[in-house]
Amino acid sequence: MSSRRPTLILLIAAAVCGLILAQTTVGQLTPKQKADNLESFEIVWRTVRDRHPDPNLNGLNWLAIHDSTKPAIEQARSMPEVRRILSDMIGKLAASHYAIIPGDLYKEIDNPTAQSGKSVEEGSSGIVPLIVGNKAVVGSVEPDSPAAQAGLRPGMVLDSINGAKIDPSLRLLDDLKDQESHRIVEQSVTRKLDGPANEAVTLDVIDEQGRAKHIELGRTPPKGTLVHFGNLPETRVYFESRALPDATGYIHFNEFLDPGSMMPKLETALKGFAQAPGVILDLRGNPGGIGLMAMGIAGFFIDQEGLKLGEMKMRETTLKFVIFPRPETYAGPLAILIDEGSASTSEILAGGLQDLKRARIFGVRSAGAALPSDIIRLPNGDGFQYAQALYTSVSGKVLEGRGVTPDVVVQQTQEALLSGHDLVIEAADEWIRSTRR
Amino acid sequence: MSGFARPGASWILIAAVFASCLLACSLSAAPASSPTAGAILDRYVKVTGGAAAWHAKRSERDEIEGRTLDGERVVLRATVAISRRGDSFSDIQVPQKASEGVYNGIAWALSEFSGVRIKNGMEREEAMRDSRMLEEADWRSLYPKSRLAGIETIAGQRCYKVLLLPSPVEKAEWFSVSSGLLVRRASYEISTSGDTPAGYTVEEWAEHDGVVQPRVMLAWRGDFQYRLAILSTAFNTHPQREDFAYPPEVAEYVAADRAGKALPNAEEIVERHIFESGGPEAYEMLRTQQITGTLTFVARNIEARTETWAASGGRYYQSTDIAGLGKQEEGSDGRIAWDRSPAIGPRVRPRKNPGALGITLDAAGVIAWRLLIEQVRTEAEEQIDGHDCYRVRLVPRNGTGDMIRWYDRATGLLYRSSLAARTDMGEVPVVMTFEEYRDIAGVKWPTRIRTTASGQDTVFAADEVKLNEPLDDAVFDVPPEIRDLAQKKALE
Repeated sequence: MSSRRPTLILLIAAAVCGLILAQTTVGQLTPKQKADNLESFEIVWRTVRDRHPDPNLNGLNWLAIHDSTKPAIEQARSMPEVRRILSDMIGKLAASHYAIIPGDLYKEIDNPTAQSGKSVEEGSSGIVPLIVGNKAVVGSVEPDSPAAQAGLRPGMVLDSINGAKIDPSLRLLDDLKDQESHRIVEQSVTRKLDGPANEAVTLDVIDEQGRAKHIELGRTPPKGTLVHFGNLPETRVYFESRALPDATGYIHFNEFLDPGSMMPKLETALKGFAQAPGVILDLRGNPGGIGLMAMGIAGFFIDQEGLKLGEMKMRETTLKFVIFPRPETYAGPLAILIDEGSASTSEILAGGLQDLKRARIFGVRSAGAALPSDIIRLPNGDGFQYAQALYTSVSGKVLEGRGVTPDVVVQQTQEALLSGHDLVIEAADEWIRSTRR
Repeated sequence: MSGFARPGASWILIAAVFASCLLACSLSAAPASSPTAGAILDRYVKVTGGAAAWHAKRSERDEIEGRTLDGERVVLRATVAISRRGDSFSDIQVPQKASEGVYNGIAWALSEFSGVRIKNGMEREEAMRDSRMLEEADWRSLYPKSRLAGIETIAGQRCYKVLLLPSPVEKAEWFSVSSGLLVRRASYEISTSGDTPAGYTVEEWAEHDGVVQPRVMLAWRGDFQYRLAILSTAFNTHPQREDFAYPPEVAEYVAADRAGKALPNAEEIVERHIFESGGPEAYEMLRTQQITGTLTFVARNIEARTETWAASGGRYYQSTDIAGLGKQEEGSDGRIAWDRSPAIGPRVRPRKNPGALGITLDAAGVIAWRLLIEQVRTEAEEQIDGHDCYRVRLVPRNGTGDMIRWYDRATGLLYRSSLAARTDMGEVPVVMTFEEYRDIAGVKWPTRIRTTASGQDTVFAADEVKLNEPLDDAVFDVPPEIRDLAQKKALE
């Protein structure tokens, strides 16, 4: 099971909002491309018919949709048009985790050095953006990064990137009020900030005094290690843990991937926090990953066998997300932080531990994109992500479209960021302190 | 009189019992030395009542019961009827409801286990002989080439050993030199699962209506011994031939068979796979396995290397190294079953059934399949991936969901299997397709297994399969962290 990934989300945004974020080839299709597109269409249609968790496909007349879509595919004149038609078709399902992924994204995976004869190292300016209200602001700054060295601080407003105003993306939110779009825009800003390590990025920002500043930042290799898992685009995965000033343990990782590397780090961190008054697990911005890891991570906090986080209902069977207790578990208070960027496996873990009353959830409602999905490669080179199952938490809550509602809603503000505060962490830490009282 | 061969179910012993009820006949003087086999058999008929007494009886019905040697457990209970013409009908209650017989030249069997089965070839031939009252009286037609094989001491008695010939299986009887009575009979039961040694030694005799018959016998089938008793005997209870008519299900099957529409019995299909893939002897000889190969997650662009070691005593170890997911391990040293993965961590587990993996690690799981299965039926002929197959449904004894198997009609080998595998996360429907059988150490082994589970397609391609080669036992050692965990659990 895989989750929606940032790159995929961007592509969905492209389909929904007309923003073509991936470089694609526009031009007359060859007969072979046309044939491949037709075969790809049939595979997508058939996969939905056979694998969608609801055999009734939400009441859609899927056969009629096939017959009305096929001529459009046959007459399509470019790959972007084919993708738009397919995206429209699967969009009728009105569910997350259905996406057409342009084949260009796979070029690096299939042949990483093909384009220029040498691989291009990805770079990061060190800024993690955040959408607050109708502004894109600096959410956090990596220590020692080019952004930190340039004096950028959380809360500063991002006005333009490489001369391009961010406003057009933000204006989309005027029409698309859902959390999904919020998250998509946030990640589109991330994508613009990141780029080749040897290329600088120029920013226009507004500081805490309201002054406009033009800054040029270099890009350094982003933190984390590159992980390749099946058909998922390569992703950098990082893990961090530290003790907060009052000794509360703080753990943050960006995706549920690379368990071979990440789980030992988590285990070591938790051993170090064995005497801590509490632990904060920060899943904000975490789009998910390997679902199995939710069960494994829950096992660090639950010592009772037979409990489960929830259930995944597929066509053929219902799978229980059983918690497997670890040999040593952490028994102290656990706070989990979520936001609109917390999706899929993040929601499965947070929602399950919330239902079991093992964790208290802080932040804002999560993405509500919890459908376990798979990605297959199509004959035309594109990828197709589709949901395999419906997911309900242990209390029976459907997370898809609704997300996890925090026990304590804490909205991050620009003012707090500018004054050096992370209101969500502070609320969680305060709760942990209160449990000692 | 060999048994009605029904592999794995002790009620097939009825045949042996049945035979022992037929002893009879006219007295004749035993030769002073080296009598012929015919003379010995004639004498036996004579000392059990004589030909005239036997010929006065057209049919016979016996209630029989088999018990374990300690008398605690009934292993067989049945009513057996036979006729002079060679028709028979056995109604079996223990160990399970079943019936079998011979009628109008058709040797049949009907059981809750596998439905209707028509016996053919040697099995039919033996069933026909077993259905006749006092087989020994007809030795001139049935066993004209019988011969004396020597004198042996059996159960403390000097006996003539007579080989009943010709016979498709070895068949010997020992007759007391002094009394002329039968002391022991040894033969083989012919069945779908092969020939099984079976027989009995007579411990007590009883007289009924002018003829003498064994009443208590020490019987065996393979390594299993039990005591067989004739509870009651009645003669001429089935005056009409129609009294032996087979049940409607059999009649229906026979009609379909004549019309070329009957499906083969499921037991025969399953046993054919065992035979075609090497035979029970080859499976019994399996001691170790070492299999390496590649597991491909189709459509996910993921490949994993897998290694499996297995040895007798329930020992096994399997590792699957999946890029991006890490090394998944599971194993057992015969006492502690465990698994470990980066995502889930180390776990001590209830003993797992390695057979569920699709690669059988335990020969008993193949050849003693009846111990695991409560019922089996052939359901249809179907074409799967271009292979003409028989679809067979197997109902497990442990209450898990039914298994469906497809056996290739041409090769007899298992082609596809569908079952609900029990996992920690619930029951998962699994479909496995077995391909590219290779001859390895006398066993045909599938080296390519396609699996569909939870909507995921995988292909396992073995690049090396070694059977019965020495293994380093250290591979089955339980990792220290698992051992510690097991001790901790034991203390809890």
